[in-house]
Amino acid sequence: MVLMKIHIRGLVSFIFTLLSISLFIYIKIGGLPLFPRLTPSELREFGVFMIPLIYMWDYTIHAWPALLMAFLIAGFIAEVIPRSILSSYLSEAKMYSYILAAALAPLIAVCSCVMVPIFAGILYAGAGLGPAITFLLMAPASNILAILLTSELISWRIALARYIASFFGAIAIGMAINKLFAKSKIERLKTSRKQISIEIPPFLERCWNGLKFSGYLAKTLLPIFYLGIAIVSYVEAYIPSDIISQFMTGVKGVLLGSVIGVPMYTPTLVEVVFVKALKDLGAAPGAILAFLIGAPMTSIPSMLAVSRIVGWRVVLTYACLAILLAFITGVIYQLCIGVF
Amino acid sequence: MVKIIEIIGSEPPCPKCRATYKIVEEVVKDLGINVRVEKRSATSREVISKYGIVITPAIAIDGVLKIIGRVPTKKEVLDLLSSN
Repeated sequence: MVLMKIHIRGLVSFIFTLLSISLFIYIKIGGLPLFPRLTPSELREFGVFMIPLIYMWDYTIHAWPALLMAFLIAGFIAEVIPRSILSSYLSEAKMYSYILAAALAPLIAVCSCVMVPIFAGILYAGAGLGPAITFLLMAPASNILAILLTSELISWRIALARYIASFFGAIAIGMAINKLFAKSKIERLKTSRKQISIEIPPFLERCWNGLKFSGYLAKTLLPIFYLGIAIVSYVEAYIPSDIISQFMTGVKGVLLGSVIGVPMYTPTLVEVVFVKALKDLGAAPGAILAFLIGAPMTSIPSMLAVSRIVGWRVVLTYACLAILLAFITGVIYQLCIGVF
Repeated sequence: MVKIIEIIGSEPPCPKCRATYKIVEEVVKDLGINVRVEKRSATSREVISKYGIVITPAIAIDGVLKIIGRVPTKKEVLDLLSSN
C-alpha cells in the first residue's frame, strides 16, 4: 500500500511537471505575451498607492506560466542530478575541473546558502581555489531560474549571452585568481573518500521530491520576488525615461550597468524584473546585459561569507574582474548585436 | 557503542538544515534509542577533511555520509537508524 502511494504520488508529480511545460510551450506557440504590458505612463495614472499592486497583478497574470515552469524545472533538475557528482568529479585539481565547475554550478545551486559550503568544499578538499571561484561566480549569474526568466522577460538573445559570457568569464576569472594567488597558503586537507554511501531513491520518488523542492523554492523566493516587483514598480513609474536613455546607453551606460549592481543587492529573479523596467524606459541592451552579469556575481552577502574563508584580497580581486567582465561583455554585445 | 549522528548544515542554519535536524530529533525520540546527535557546519575544516564537498543538509551516521542535499523523510531516517 505504502509503495503504491509513493508510485502514484511520483507519477502524478511527473505528469504535472510535463503538463506545465507543455502548457508553457502551447502559450508560446499561441503567441500570448508572457510579460507585463503596461507602459510607464499608463502605470503612473494609477497613483502612488496603487502602482505596486497593479504592477504585481500585471506580473501575476502574465508571467505565471513562465514562473511555474521555471520553478518546476529548477526543482526537477536539482533532484534528478545526483548530488554525489560534485564530490566525485570536483575532488581533483585538473584543467577540466574549471569547465565542470561552471557547467554544474547553475544546476545544483539555486540560492547562496547552499553555495558557500560547496565553495569551501571545493576549495579545501577538491579542485582548489580557481574552480571554487568559478563555481561561486557561475551559480548566481546563470542559475536555471534566472536564465529562463531572462529569456521570457527580456529576450532569448540576452539570456543566451548572459549564459555564455558567465560561463567563459567565470572560468577565466577562476584561472586568473588561481594564477594571482598561487603563492597564498590555502592548505589542502586530505580527505578519505571511502566514507560515503548515499542512498538514491527510485525515479518516481525523486519526481515527488523534485516537486516538493520546487514548492520550497517558490515559498522562499516568491515573497522576495514580489517585494522586489513592488519596489521596481516605482522605478518604472517615476524615473523619467530621458534620464535612462541619457545615462543607460552607449559605453557610459554599459559601464554604469556593470557597476550599479554592486551596492544594489538584488535577490535572484528580482534583477530580471529590474532590467525589464530599465528596458521599458529605454536602456540599451549592452547596459542591461552588463547589469545581469555584474550584479549577481558581486552580491555583497556572498562576498562577505566568502571573505571569511579566503580573505578580502581574493574577494576584491574577483569582484573587480567580474565588473570588468560585465563591462566587456556589455560593450561587445552592444557593438556586435545591439538589439534585444 | 553509542551511535553518532552528524547533521551537517550551513552556518547560519538554513531552513532545510533546521527541518532535517527536527526530523532526526523526532525519530530519535520516538525510537527511544541512545544516540548522540551532533550539529556540524559544512564549512568547518573537520567536516571538509572528513567528508569532502558536502551539499547541505547532510546526514552522516558513524562517520558515513548517508544523505546529502535534501531533507529526508521520517521513514528514511527510521530505516537508517534501525538498519545497522
